[in-house]
Amino acid sequence: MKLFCAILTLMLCAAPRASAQRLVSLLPSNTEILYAIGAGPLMGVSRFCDYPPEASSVEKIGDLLHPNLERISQLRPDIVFAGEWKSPPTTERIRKMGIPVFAVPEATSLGALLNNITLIGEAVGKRQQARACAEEIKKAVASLKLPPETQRPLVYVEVDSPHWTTGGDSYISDLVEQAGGRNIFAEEKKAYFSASWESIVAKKPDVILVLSRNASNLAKLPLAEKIPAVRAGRILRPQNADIYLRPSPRVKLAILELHGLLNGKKQ
Amino acid sequence: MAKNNNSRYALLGLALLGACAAGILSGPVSGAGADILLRLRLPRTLLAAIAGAGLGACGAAMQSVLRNPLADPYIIGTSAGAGLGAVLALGLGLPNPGAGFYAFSFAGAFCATGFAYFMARSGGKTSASALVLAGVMVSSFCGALILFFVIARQRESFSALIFLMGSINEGSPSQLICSGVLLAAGLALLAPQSRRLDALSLGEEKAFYLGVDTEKLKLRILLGTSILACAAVGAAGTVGFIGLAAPHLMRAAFGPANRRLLFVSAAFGAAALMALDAAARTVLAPAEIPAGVLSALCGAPFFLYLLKRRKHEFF
Repeated sequence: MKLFCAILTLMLCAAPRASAQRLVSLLPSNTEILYAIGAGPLMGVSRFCDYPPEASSVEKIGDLLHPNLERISQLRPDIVFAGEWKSPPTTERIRKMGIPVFAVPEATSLGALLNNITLIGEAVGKRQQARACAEEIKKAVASLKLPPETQRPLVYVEVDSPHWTTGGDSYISDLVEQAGGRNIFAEEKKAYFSASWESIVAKKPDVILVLSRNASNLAKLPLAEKIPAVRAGRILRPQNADIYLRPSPRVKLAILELHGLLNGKKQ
Repeated sequence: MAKNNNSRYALLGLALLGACAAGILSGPVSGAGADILLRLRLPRTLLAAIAGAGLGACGAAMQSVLRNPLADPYIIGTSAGAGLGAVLALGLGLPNPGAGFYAFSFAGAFCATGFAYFMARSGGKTSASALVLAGVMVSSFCGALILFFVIARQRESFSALIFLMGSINEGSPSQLICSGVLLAAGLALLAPQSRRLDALSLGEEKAFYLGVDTEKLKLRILLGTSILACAAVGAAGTVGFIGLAAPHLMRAAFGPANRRLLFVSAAFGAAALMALDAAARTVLAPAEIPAGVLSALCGAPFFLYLLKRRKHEFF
């Protein structure tokens, strides 16, 4: 019986189904993807979901780590979109309530994100739209003119203070590479870590990309004047950090914007 | 004995120098070269030394005044109180370092310690276990308040977490000066109390007949230890167990006389935290581990060892 249920759940998730399903999304990235490919209606979204603007008016049902399971069950969703992002308990708990749940794999690169868009499209019967969406991103990125490998600027990304940054195995690192930059910590085989200030100084980044709203003023730290990025005033603070941080279709905007900024375009 | 002590002083001095050298020299120096040593690692190592010294001296004075080998600014709630004050100050927009920031963290340390002591005291006595339990409760209450404020603001949550775990960064000259002055003030306040503390080790009643105003003494020690905890928290966040281990090891090496104990504990605490910070910076380089994580890794087993070895031995 259990096996049967499992297979049924899998089929429910994987099989293309008629549109107009009742959906619940526990991650802002999934919410953005679902809206972009015209799936829905969304009955519930996480408390962090604020894009597109319509998402703000959808009922909030907690978040991936603390979902309001009672409310989710009352919403009778056809599929709940969770994430594989360190949340086996959530996925498992929702599945145990008999609600089909799709744990979207963590997007660790642009390619993985495009794959996720396709997977989500298949799960909600919007294969065509999903493919078109992924294709559009791919085309926009491919059209960028990138300088030869050795001339690309070295980028230090501050995701959060104190010096919480990104190693080579991460989505944001890939995003920087796609936009024509080189992550100073690209050879670190990890996703995110807290770097020492002296290691940042020693790597001499040409550009600093600050994605945190409350980052300390890096230019004022001791020895900051040794960093080419600080000397040239190239500390970039994009207006909307979410387009960088959330693996969503808005990645296109992020990569285009970062490409422009790396090439000296004013913010 | 004197000759013996000289060699121990020499060893302690060597440990201080060695830890200082480790703090400054460990890790690669490519890139900015000598500047990294002088302008990043030197201030950082000094900050670690100030915090470690503050914690060591604070622990020594606490253990003596409470006649309790388990007393330590981290365990009896002083650090958590100082941390709470610091987070409140940051929440109110007071910068670290700054007078407001230190005033808040001093007030937090003072209130938390005083409260834990008051709760643990019954019938004119303070038992070791009651004090530790009261301290654990005060610490977790302060910790919960800190998390509440951090979550309510939804900002800087990651930095706050790192601060709570205890970590040292490159700091600024004013941070060095503020914490350094507070360390000196705390030591200056505690050192003249050493004789009275020695008398207190005979028991409150005997100390009283020797002419010690024990309540006044306790208040002075509470003030001095809160100032030291505040210096340490301002420099390094809430680092645990150095205040516990330093006085213990030093008491075993140099004996229980309080004047000496205060300063050798400070020196040992400084050496310990400088060495831990050097490790925190280099073990997973370029990633950093909060130094407090390492101090707990070494210190918690030490606490358990003390617990197992009967407590009365030391007092």
